[in-house]
Amino acid sequence: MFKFPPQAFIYWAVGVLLVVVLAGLIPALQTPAVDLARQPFSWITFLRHEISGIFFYHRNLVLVNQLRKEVQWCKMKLNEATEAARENTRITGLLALKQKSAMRFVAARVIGRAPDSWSSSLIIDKGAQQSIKNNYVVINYEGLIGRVVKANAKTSKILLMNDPAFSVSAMVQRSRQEGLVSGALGGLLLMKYLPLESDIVPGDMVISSGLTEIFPKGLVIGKVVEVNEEFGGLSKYALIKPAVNLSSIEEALIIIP
Amino acid sequence: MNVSRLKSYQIAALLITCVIMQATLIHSLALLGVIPDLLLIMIVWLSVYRRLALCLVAAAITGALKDALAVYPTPFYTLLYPLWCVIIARLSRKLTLEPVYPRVILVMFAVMVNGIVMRLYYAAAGNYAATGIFARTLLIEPVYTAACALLIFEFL
Repeated sequence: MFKFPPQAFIYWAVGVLLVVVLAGLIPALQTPAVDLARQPFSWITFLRHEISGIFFYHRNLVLVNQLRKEVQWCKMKLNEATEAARENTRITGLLALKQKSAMRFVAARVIGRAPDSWSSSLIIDKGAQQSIKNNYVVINYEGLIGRVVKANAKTSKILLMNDPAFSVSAMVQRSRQEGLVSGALGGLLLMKYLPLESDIVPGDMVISSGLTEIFPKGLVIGKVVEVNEEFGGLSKYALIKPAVNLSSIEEALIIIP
Repeated sequence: MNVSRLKSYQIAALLITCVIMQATLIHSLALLGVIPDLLLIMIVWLSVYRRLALCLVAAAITGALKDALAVYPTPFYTLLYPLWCVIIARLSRKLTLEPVYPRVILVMFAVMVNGIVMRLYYAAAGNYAATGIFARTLLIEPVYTAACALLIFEFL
């Protein structure tokens, strides 16, 4: 398609040589001649730059994809490590409690919860085969959780403290004022049957009094957040924030009497 | 997912998965201590598209599984879920339940009625539940379940 005869090459070579010679002889022609001679080199430089750019971009793209995968992996590992650290904290707490207490415990994991919004319960992975029986008390290192209502062979159902069917005799740790703590399905517990002259103020710690036979004395129940008079004005009631976050229990200890 | 084309064993697998989710994962979606009734949504969904006999069996089994997971097993849901199947079957003859919104309203109504029945049972059993908490649960649970039903019906 393109014909480039040898004569033409010679003409071009002679022409270029003439320009060079003339540029050498005439100073005014030097700058345009150098610019002209530089032009093909700048094209080559541009081309080389663009080609290396393509390689550079591709290499970076591969690297970015690889780094993204590594970041994902690192995030996953970080998540696993955080989860392990939290579990470690919880289990260390349970172990410390188990070691310092004279009571016998069975440790269990939570495997399920109540399927509706009208009750508050847990299902744990230990049952009658691990010596768990109905009405055994369930705690963790923060305090009381509830009691066993149904011990199957390998699983048990736990009634949580905030279920309306739950009640435990309790007392204010500071003033030794006694009352009955029961659940109301919410985040707070209700301490009832407090006389009007009872010494109870927000911030007081509430513990089990031991009057309910199945609950040992001194188990931490929670802290008083509000004290009010009953509707009839005959007695007072207190709202208690449970020491244990009942919506996020993962492990528990069952007291074996 | 077209429920009318699902085979019986696929429906069984779906419902069992939902029962497990209702007792485990759904609690991470709890709003003010209230969880949506995923099983009722599935029963309503099933009742609109499938014949009554199959729905009754599925509803009774699902209800029984839910009752078995409850603190004190009572045959509540074993009876209530099939009852809703019958009501939906009757309603389907008079109303068009194919569009999403009538089904969502039906779910909301069913959850509310279930809640009232449960409350009456708990009250009869002597379990105290503060009126405020009862009202809150009775208001939030149907709305929350209906919102979840809307999502499920739209996407399935």
